[in-house]
Amino acid sequence: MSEANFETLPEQGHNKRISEFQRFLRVMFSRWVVIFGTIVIISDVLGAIFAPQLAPYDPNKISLREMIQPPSAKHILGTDEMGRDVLSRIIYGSRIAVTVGLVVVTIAGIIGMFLGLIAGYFEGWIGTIIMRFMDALMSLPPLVLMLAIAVMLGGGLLKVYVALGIGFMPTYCRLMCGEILSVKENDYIMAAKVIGASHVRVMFRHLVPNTFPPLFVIITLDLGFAILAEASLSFLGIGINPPTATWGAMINSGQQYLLTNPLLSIVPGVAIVLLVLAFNLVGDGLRDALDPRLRGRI
Amino acid sequence: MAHLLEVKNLQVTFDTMSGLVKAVDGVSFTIDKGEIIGLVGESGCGKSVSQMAITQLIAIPPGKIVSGEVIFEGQDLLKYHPDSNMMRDVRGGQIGMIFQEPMTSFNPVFTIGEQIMESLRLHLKLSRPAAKKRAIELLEEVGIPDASVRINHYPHQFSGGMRQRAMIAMALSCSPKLVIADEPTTALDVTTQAQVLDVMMKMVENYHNALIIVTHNLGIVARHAQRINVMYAGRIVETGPSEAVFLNPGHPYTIALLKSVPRLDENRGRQLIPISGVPPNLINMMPTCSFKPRCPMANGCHNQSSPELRPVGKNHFVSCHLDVNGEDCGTISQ
Amino acid sequence: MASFLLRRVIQTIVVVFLVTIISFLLLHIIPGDPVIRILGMHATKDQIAQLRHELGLDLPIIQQYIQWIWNIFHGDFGKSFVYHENVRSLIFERFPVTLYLVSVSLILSTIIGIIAGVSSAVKRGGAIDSIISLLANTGVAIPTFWLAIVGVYIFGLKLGWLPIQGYTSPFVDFGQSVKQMIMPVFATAVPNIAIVARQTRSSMLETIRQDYVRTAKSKGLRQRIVLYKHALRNALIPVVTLVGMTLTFLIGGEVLVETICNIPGVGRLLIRAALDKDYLIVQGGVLIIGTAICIINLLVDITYGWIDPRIRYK
Repeated sequence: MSEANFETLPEQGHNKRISEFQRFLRVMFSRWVVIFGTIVIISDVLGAIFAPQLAPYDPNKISLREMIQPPSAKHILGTDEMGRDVLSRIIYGSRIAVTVGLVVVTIAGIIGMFLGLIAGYFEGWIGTIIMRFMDALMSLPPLVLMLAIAVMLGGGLLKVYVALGIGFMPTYCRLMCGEILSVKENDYIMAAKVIGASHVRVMFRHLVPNTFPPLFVIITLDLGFAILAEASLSFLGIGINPPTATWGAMINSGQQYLLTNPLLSIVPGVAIVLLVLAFNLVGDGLRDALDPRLRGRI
Repeated sequence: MAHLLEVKNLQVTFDTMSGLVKAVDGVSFTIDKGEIIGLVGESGCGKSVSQMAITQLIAIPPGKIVSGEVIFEGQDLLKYHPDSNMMRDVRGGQIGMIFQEPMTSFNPVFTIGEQIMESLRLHLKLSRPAAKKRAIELLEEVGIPDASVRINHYPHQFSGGMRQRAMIAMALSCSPKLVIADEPTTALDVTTQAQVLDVMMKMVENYHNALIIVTHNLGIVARHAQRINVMYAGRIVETGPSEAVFLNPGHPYTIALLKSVPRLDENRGRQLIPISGVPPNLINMMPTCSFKPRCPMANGCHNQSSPELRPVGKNHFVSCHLDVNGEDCGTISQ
Repeated sequence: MASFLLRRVIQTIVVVFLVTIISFLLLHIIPGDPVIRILGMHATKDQIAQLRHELGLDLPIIQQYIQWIWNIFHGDFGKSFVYHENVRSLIFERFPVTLYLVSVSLILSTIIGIIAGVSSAVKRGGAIDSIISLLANTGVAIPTFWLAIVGVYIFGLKLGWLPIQGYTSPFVDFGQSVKQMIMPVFATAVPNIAIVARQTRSSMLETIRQDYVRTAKSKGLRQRIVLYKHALRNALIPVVTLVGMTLTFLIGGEVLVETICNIPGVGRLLIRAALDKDYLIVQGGVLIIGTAICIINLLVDITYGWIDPRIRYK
C-alpha cells in the first residue's frame, strides 16, 4: 500500500482541539454585530470598574442651584432634579447594571440547575413536583412575580437580587432537566454505568458538560434581561434605595421633567437598550458559533 | 437514437468554512428511455449530489453548479433557473425522485393522500375527486392495504416500509419518464428492503420509467440494473453493462469493492478484504488519481495525472492508468 | 386526542394548585411580623390581635391555607387595607380593561411578528433579513416603560398627536378610545413583536432545512407554495406554544404601562398596592393573573394539538 497522502487525512488529536477553538472564535466574530456587542459590553464593564476615574462629578453630589439644567459645557447631559450631573450618574449606574446581571444569573443558575439536575436524573415524583413548580413560577408574569416577592421581602438590594433570582430560575431548571432527560438515554451513559460509575460521577462527568453550550447562550441573554428586570423594579421605586444611581430609577424621576430636560428619562433608557442589545447580539453569536450544524456551513 | 438524459461534465462545488469542496468533479453519463442504471459508491463520493443537480435541488449557497450540461429530452436543464416553469414542470412531472429517509420525507401535518394528490393536481391537472381516486389506486399498486382508509392517514401513522412505498407511489404518480431513487432502501431494515425494492421495480416495469438507482449496496443493482456507474471522490471511475462490471471489473476500486462484499455463490471462509485508508478529503484535491492513496496497484503506477475513462470492453469504460494486470496503458494525461 | 386533553387538564390543575401555594406563601415570606408591617409601629395590642385573627395568621399554616383556599372559592379574597373594599371587586372591576389591552397587543404583535419573521427567513441573508433581525434584537432590549415614556414625549408632548394618558371604554367613545390605546399597545407590543419575529425566523429557517421541504420541491411545486404551505405550517407550531410565554411577558409590560398612562387596569392597582403595602391585593392579583395565564396556556396547548396531527393521535 502506498504512502497515504497526509494532506488529505483529517486533523488529529491536539491539533484538532486548538483549531476547534479558533474556528469557534472565527465564526463568533465573523459578524460585525457580535463585535459591536462585545465592544459595548467591555465598555460598560470598564465604565463600571473605573467609574470614579471616568465620571466628571460625584454622582450623589446635590446642588440645588443647578437643578434640571439642559445639556451644557459644564454638564454634558445636564442635571437632574437634585442638581446631580446626569452623565456621572449614568456611568455609576453601569455598576448596578453590570453586577445585577452577574449576581442574578449566578443565583438563578445555581439553584435552577441544581433542581433541574435532581428533577432530570431521578424523575418520578420528585421530578414531577419540581417541574410543575417551575411551570407555576413561569405562569406568572416575571415582573409580577418578582415585584411581589421583592415587595414582600422588603426593600433593599439584596432582596431584589433574591426576587430576581427566583424569577429567572425556571429557565435553568428546565434546561438542565431537559438536557439530562435526553442525554440520559444515550448509550455512553449506559456504558459509564456498566463499568460501575456511581450516580454522582455519572452526573458530573458526563451529563453536566453536555449542557454547557445552550447554557452559555441562556446566561448571556439573561445577563441582559436581568438588567431589564431590575430597571423595571427600580423604575417603580422598589428595590435599590436612593440616592444610588440606577438607570431605571433615573427614568422614573425624569418623567416629570420631560418638557424641560427630556434627556433625564431618555438617556438612561438608551444606556439600557445598548447594553441589553449587546448581550443579545453576543448571545446570538454564541448560539451560532456553538451550533454544530452550522460548523461546516453546509 | 437520442438519450433520454445526457449528463456532460457536471461539476458541483460547496463552499464551506474549511474550503471549497468539489463534490462532483466532471461526471458524465447517459440513460435511455426505459433503461435501469445503477450509481454505486461509498458515502460522500458525490452520487446523491450529482442526482440532485439534475433537477437543480442543490441549495445554491453554499452549493454551486459550476459547469456542465444536463440534457433531458434535448434541452439543457441547467440553462433554466431553478424556479422557472420549465424546471418545475420537469420536477415531479418528467423526473420523479425517491429519497432515502421515509421518516422525514413526508410533511407531518398533511395526510399522505393530500401529498400525493398535490402532485397529481399540479402536473396532470386532475380535479380533486379524480386525484383522490388515482391516489388510492396508486397506494393499492404499491401494496398498501386498505388504501381508501389509509389515504386519510398522516405520515406518522405509517411504518417506515409503508412510507417508502407511499413515496414510490408519489414519485411515480405522474408517470415521469425518469425516476431517480436515491438510496431508496438504505434506511429500512433488511426484510423491508427487499419488499420495497420489489415494489419499486414492479412499478417501474409497469410504467416503463427509466430508473437511476443510487446506492452503496452492490446487491441491489446487481440484480436489477442494466448498466452500472461506479463513483469515487466525485468522479465516475468505471461504467459499463452490469454483467461486465461485475464479472470483469476494470477499476481497482470496483475490484476492491467486490472483494469486500460476501457473495452467496462463493466459498465460505474467504476473507473479506476491506479497502484500506479513508475516503479522500474533497477540499484539496491533488491533480493525481484520487484513488492512488488506497490503490493496491499504486506501486506500479507512475503516471502523475488524473486518468480519463478508457474503453476496456463493449460499452465498458474504466479510468485507470493501468490495466487489470498492472500494465501501464499509456493513457492520455489530463 | 382525548388522552392528550386529559393529561393537559390535569397538568393545568396541578399547576394552578401550585400557583395558589405560591400566592399563599407570598404573605409568609415577609420577614418579621406582617401584621406589624401593615399596621405600623404604633398599633395597639388589640389591633394587632384582631388583624392577625382576621388574616387567619393565628392558625397553623396548613389550616391557614385551607381556610384561605376555602375563602377564595367563595370569592372572598379579603379586604384591602387602603381602599377598604373587597379585593375581589377591586380586581375584577379592572380586569376587563387590562384584558382588552393585552388582547389587542397580543394579536397585533403576533401577526406582525410572524410576518416579519417569515419575511426575514425567506429572504435570508438579504437586506430585509439584516434589518429585521437587528430590529428584532433591539426590540427585545427595549424596556417597555421607557418606550411608553419616549412615546408619550414624542407623540404626546412634542407633536401633540395623541393623548398622553387616560382610558375610555371603546363602547363609550370609540375614536378617543383608540387614540388613547395606541401608545400603551405600541409600548407593550414592540418587544413582543421582536420575540415572535425571532422565534418565527429561526423556526422557519429550521423547517426549510427539513427533508419534506426538499420533497415538496422535488414534486415541482412553486417556491411560494413550498414555503407558505409546507414549511410555514410546521414552522408555526413552536410559535404557537410561544404565545403562552409572550402572554406573561406582555402582562408584565402592561402592568408598567398602565401606571405611566394612567389606565385603570389590574396593573396599576397591583403596583399601587405593592407600594402601599396593601398585601392582600398583591396576593389576590398574583393568584388571579397566574390562574388566568394557566388557563390560557391550556387553550394554547389544545390549539397546538389541533394543528399538529402527531400530538392528536398520540
